Amino acid sequence: MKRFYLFWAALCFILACSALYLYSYMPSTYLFADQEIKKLFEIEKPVEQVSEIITVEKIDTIPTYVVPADTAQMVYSAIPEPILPDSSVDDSTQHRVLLIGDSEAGGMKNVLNDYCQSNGHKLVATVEWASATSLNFAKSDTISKIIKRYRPTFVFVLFGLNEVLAKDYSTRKNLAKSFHKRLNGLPYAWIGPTNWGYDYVVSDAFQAAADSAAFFSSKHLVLPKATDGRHPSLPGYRIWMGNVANWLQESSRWKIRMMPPERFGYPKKYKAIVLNAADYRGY
Amino acid sequence: MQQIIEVIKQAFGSIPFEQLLREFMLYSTKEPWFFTEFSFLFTFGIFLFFYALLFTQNPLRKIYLIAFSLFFYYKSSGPFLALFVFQIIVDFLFARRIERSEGNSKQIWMSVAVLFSLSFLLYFKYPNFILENTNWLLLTHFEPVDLFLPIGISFYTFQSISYIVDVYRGEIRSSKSFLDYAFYMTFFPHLVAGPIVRAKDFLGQINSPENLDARHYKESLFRIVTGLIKKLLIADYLGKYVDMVFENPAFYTGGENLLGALAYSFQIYFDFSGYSDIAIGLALLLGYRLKENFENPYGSSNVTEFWRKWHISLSTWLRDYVYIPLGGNRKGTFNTYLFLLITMLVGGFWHGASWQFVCWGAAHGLALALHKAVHKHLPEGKWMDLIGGIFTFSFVTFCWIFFRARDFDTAVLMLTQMAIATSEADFVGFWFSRNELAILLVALLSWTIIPGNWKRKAFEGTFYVPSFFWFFILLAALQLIIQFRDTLVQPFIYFQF
Repeated sequence: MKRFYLFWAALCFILACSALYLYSYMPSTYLFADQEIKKLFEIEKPVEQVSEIITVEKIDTIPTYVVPADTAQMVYSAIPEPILPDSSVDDSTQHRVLLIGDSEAGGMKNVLNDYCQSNGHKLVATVEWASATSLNFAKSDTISKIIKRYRPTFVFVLFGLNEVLAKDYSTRKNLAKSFHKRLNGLPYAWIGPTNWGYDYVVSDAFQAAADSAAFFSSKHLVLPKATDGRHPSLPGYRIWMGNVANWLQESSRWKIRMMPPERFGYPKKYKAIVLNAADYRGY
Repeated sequence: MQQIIEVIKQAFGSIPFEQLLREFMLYSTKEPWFFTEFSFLFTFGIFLFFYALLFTQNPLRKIYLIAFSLFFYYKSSGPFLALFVFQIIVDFLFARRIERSEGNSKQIWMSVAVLFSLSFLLYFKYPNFILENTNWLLLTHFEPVDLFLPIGISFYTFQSISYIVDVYRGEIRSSKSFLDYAFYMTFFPHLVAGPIVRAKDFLGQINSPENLDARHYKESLFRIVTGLIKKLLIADYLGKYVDMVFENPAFYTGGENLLGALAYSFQIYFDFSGYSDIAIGLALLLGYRLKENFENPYGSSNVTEFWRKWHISLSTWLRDYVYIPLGGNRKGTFNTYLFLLITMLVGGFWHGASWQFVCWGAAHGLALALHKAVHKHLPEGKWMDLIGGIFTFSFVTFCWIFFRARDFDTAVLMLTQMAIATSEADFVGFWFSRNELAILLVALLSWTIIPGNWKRKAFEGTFYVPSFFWFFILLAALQLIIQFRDTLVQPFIYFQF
């Protein structure tokens, strides 16, 4: 009896840590007051195994957009009129911005750089993970490590083009949720992929995984295409960013200053990280 | 039931036992052990179980605890364990020699022993500071050296010095048992970041640890749980904003810089007092009582009171081994002020080898001297306490800027931003853009105003919680930490000192 409390204290530590450890291995996640009870660590499933359940049809089936002859003229007039920032936007806040995404992020990075520099933000790094899907972003540690390294205060997320034909809503939503956790509570703007008329579930799934008003659906935008038939052209990216910028200032969850740049072509001072999902699945 | 068995099989079968054992036994620079590591908390539970079995077997219990403490230090600092053990052996022999000597030879042995202890600290902590200043003064070009600072060296060096000086002064007898001295030096709850324990407070407890009754059990778990929450939930959360502002003060408005400094004031307090709470709680579970290290310091109404309540083990150490030996208040008014300044300069320099820490110490030294000079002429009363409290807290926060900033220029830039670029709109913007942080800062400011005895009463109220329920409190606290923690837990701020 004399040492009862010593034994009991020892059991408290052993049982509490064991319970949390074992919970990490449970296949399901439980909720408490509508909040997911997080696990001590995530059990990483081998990428190969998970990828078997993903069925992405070839994107080549998308019909090629016919680029009008007077593209340049049409494009510049199509950049939306800027909307002045909401009163809650603090003009003085200068963010360290990180852009994460697939090849569309690669096209967007220079345009975003112009917006950032013109608005006093600093684009610190961009991650262009070509051919990547939500599977890569959700299952690998790459993004967490990049966030830790570059310490952004605001993250732009832009992927989904490589899975725009997918129809497995719940899988996409779960993957998007897993990716969302990797943002680790940072303010972000999640931009949906461009829609060439075949976005069945991807944007909706991402929107469901993101925080409210943190997802910008691009489904309604008709953008001029680049000659590869898959991505927007440079003017297309500028139109896209113009719409995103207005949304960011007016109605996004984390409003930041994003007025149109005084000019395009600011010097590129950010770290551009280029990966390819064909030979790099994440670490 | 079947599902639970499957989960257990998967959990224990996923990593080969040999690999698990190897990872557990070896030191990893990427994952050094802190009190906040789950692997530590689990191992501590196992250790405590066997400790309970050996509790009444005196020499075995001590050997077992020393072995665990050395293992803990190895998991925190790796190969520096050998250096630590060497220092313990030599200091033990020095103390024995000092006690046997008399007159001048006693003083010489004491000086040699103190210099020996200090030499390790000087070698690991200050060479780059010395080289940089030599280069600046003599226009030399010495390259900085790349040295890893052994964790806890500043703490255990001061601890061994206090032991040697106390033996020299005759305040304590040198320990005849090497086991007892090793126990005192290696006792893991205070080993890596204090509190700095005096031999006279601890050696007497070694052979007669307190039996863990219900009250001590609840008090221990309360201290451990609150320490974990202070560190992992509050300090680490504040640290995210603090890191951003101190990294690039020019990116933020004056108001945001001001709030960054305020957030750091709370971050360092919750980080270090959280560590001390865990250390005191762990020691109490083992049957030993460590002295309090913090007593509501931000509720102090003047700087003197602040230093009686902040990092108490260091401030009393500085008082007893620097200020009083210099002459204290026995050698005239001017010298008293001078000694205060010198003492705080030593305190600043102890924290780190840079001029910023020296300035931080000098600012506190001057403030202590100023307060000593004027306090008799100041009116007294509750309102004066309140005004003094606001002034003291502002002063301490101002000094923390120099303590935290990466260099002098950054500190000056922050202050400049505060002076020239602050407006009401900054605070309104902050409230809307960082609402949770703003609420937390308001809550913490309110918390400092609550009198210390109210907090003590609330603490004693937890003793009415049934013993078995503390398991659920511990479990809930650990889950809460998982729920809100960063991907990577930040090391304790005071580990770097």
